[in-house]
Amino acid sequence: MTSNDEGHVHIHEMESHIEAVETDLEYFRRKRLEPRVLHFLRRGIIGFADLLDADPRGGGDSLVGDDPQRREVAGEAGSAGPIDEARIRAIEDRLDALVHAIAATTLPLNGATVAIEDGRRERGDYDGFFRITPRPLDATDLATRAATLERRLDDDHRLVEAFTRALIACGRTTAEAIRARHEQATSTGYHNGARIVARAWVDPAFKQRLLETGRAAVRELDIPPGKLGRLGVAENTDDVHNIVVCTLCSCYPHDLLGNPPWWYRTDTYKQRIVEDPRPVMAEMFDLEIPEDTRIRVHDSTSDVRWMVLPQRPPGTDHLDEEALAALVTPESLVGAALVPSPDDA
Amino acid sequence: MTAFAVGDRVRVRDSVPDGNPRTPGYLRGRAGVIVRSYGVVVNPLDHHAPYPPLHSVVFPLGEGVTDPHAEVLADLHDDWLERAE
Repeated sequence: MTSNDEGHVHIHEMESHIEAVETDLEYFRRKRLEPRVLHFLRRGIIGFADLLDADPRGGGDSLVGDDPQRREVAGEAGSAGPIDEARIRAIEDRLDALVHAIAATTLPLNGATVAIEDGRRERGDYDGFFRITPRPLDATDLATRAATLERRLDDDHRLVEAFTRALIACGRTTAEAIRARHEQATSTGYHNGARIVARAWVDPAFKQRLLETGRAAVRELDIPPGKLGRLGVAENTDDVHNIVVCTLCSCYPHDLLGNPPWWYRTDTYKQRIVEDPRPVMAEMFDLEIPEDTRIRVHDSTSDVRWMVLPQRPPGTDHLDEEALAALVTPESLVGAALVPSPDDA
Repeated sequence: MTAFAVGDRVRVRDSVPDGNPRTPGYLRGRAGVIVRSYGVVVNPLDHHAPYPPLHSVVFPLGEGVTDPHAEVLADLHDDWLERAE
C-alpha cells in the first residue's frame, strides 16, 4: 500500500483498493468457487445435503483459512463505520485467504477426474447461459462498500469451508491432502518468477534453456515445474516488448508464479489490450513504449501459459542474483511494467 | 500429424470444431503466420482429451488500427486453422 508523507493512505488509493477487491472477489466467486461447486453437484461428486450438513455455522475449526481473529477485527471495524487502512488491509487479507481456500479445493479426488476445462464450461466461458450473475454494487460511499465486501466475504468463506468439509465427508479427499494443497497454494508467489528472471539475466545458457523448454528449465532453481501445459517465456529486448493476456479466461502459469495482478482478470484489460496495445499500455500502466519498438501481445490459450522475461535494468552490473530478483515486480512478469532501475529509487 | 509448418499463412475458421472451444472469438476469420509449432501438448489437468497439434500464430492488429509495429500472438490448434493465400 502506498502512503503519503504522514504515513496515511490517500482516500483515492483506498477507493482503488476497494475496487480491486470488489473485482477480484466477484471473479473468484463467479469463475472459480461456485462453478466448481455446481459442477460437483451436477456430476454427483457431492450432494446438496452433504453441503448443508457441512455448514461451518454448525461449529468446528476452520480447515482452510478463515482466521476468526481476522474476521473479528474486520467485524469490529465494520460496526464502527469509518474506513481506514487497517480495515482495508483486513478485507484484502480475507480475500487472499478466500483465494487460497478455493485453490485448496483444486486437488485430485477419489473417484472423480475434474479438469480445468470443466470449470470453464460450467461457468459459461463458451455459453452465456451458464454465466453466474454478478452481485450488484449499489453503494457509492466507501464505508458502505467496505461493509458489503465484509458481508460477502463472510458468505463466500462459509461456502468454501462447507464445500471443503463436504468433500472430506464424502470420502473424495482427506483433511491432510487439503492442508497440503493449501500450504502449496499459499507458498506459491511471484518470487518464483523473480528468481527465474534473475537467473536468466546472469546465466545466458539458462536463459536459452528457459526460452526453449520452459517448465523443464525451472527445475534448475528447485522450483517444481508444475503440470499446466507448457510455459511460454517471451523475452523483452530493445526491439520487442511483450505483454501477456488471456482473453478467453485468465490463463496464467499460476502453478509456478502464483496469481497475476488483479486487473489481469478484468474484461476491460482483456478487450482493449488486443485491439490497440500501445495507447492502452500508456493509459492503464503509464508505460510508454517507443513507436519503433514492436509490441507483441501474447493471448494465452491454456496449453501454453506465458510469462514475460523483462529486460535487465541499467545500473545493475554490481548486483548479485538475489539482489536482482528483489527488483522484479509482478507487473513486469506480464509485461505491464519495466523492472525499475535501482538508480531511480 | 499436423497439417501446418512454421512460416505457413493460415486463417482462423469461423465455426467451433467439435470438442475444442479454445480459440479467442475476435480472431475468427483473421489471417496470420505460424511462428512456432509445439506438436500435441499433453495437458490432462486442463482438459480431458488432448487437443490437436498446437501452433503459435502471429496476427496483425484488427481493422481500423494503424500501429504498424504491434501484433497479437495466439496459440491455436490445428482444427481451428485453414490454409490462407
